[in-house]
Amino acid sequence: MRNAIRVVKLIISNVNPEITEDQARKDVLARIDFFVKTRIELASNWLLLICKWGAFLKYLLKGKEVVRYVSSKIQNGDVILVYGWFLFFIAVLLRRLFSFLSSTSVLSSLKHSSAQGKKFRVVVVDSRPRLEGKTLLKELKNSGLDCTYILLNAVSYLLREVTKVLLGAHTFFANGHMLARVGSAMISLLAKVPLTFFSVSLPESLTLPAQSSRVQIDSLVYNELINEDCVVPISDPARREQLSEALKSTKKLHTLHLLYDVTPPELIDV
Amino acid sequence: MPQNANLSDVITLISDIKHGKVFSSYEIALRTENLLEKVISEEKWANAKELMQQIKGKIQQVTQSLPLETTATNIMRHILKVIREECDQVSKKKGEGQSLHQLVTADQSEERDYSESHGDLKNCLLDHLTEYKVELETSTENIAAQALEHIHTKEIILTVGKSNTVEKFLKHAAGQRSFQVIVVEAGPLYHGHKMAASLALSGIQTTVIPDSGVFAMMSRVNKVIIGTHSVMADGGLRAASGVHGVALAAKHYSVPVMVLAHMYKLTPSYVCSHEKDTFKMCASPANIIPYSTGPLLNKINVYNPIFDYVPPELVTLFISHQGGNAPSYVYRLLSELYHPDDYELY
Repeated sequence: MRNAIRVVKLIISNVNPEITEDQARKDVLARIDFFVKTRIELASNWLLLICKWGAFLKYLLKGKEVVRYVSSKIQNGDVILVYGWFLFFIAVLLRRLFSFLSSTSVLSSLKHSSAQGKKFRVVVVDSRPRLEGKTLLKELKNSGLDCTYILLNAVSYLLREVTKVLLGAHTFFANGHMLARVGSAMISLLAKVPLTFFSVSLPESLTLPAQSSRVQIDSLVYNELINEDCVVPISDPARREQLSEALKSTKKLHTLHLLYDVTPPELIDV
Repeated sequence: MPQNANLSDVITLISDIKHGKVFSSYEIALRTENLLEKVISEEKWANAKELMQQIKGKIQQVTQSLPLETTATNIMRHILKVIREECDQVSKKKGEGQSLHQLVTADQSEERDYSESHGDLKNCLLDHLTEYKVELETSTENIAAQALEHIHTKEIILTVGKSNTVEKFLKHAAGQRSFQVIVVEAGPLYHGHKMAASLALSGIQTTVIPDSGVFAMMSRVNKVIIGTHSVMADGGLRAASGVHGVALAAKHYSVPVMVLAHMYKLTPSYVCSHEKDTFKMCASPANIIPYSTGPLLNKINVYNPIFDYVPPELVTLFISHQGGNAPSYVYRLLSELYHPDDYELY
């Protein structure tokens, strides 16, 4: 969001002072549309991107490096716990459209390793507001990996078997704290209980830069709320009604669905 | 056959627990108490030794069928201790109570032979049981009465899932103090929703958060108040799945964790925390990923553990009807509740 605002400011500051106001307005709007199309709707306008945004290629190459590095860390017999790939959907679309780009998606690092013939298991952790892990699970299963699916409460139970933890990060702040999907901090904390060897956090290097010059230590100071429509309802219909009825009947009850949380650097290894 | 007749009531209790007819620890405790009353008043036993053998047989039966269901066995163990104490008093061997000198110089090899028969033993035991029943029934109120000592105005309290004890505790405090409660949903059954609805309807400002939001919110929380399934001998907890994560987050932000536990939840067994088989009890995975997902289910493993082990260093205080105790004091409470000979009966 911040970056989008920054780009808009940049566009406005670059406007030619000699043109009329109306024309300037149209020009700025056109550029904003362009930005939306190219930076945000990547999947459909990929060709345009290659022509106009050379920087995107840089991101692609970075992605490949990341994938290669992560693949090198995955060994035979590993049990890997994954959580939080929200930008993953875009990566999947890219992969589907242009298969030679498959190495850019972080999912592919796992596929890359399995292609190299390494035998490992994956544990997919999911949590409720959006239950995004299910898509990841299907993808992994289709690639033939051995998968386990659990909810966040069972992580403590399974963590004894796990050798590495891969978390999808959104941003890294200047003080080393990581902004990631809500729940990632909990997993890092559990992984630090001495039984797991390795905790690897991977930055998503596709749409947004992975580094931020901002500093943040607290998850609540600057966060986003998940839209209520995106909250996946509980599968059991009897229980679903409980909360919604109570919410309607009293003003004293609220729900809070955060989108991100901040993990301190001491809980992250790589 | 007296042996079979003795075990049929236990078998009924076990089957009710397995089928979910008796669900909360409180109900199990009451049922066990009734069972013991019947045993003492109606069954044939000549002396204390025979009675204790019968009860030990029942404990073994329950332990074999439901290894993780400790409420019933704890209450039976407590009764064994009561029986031994009664015998000691009646036999006048240590009539004035044990002096320190006697404790220190007592002969290790001295075996108490409980085979003397006492006419009064039955009545004494039944009196004790009635007292114990009253204690059981009022224990939740007694715990709730301590709420005002622990909750300050304008505090933010975090709780996980649904616990009747915690609910009464918070409602009692809400009568005189205004505070906020954050309830963690606790998947996969989401009991937290019911808890939150109940608290909000009685006028407490409540917020529901999913399990993933605990770390984010913990920096704002003043206290964590939770219930538990049982308390292990080292002061650790066997609690609902997900509580370990909450306790770790609380430790990270130095938030005190208070556990409300009735005395019958204290169990004299330890947990080897790196043996996850100790907590092998899992529930149906249909709650995690519904059967309607289709053919994908053939190829994946899904786990739904019921319990979590929380090590004692993450717990700040245990609150029982007798008051608050530190986890390091649990061993002392155990020695008051159960006799050391009854710790392992399997």
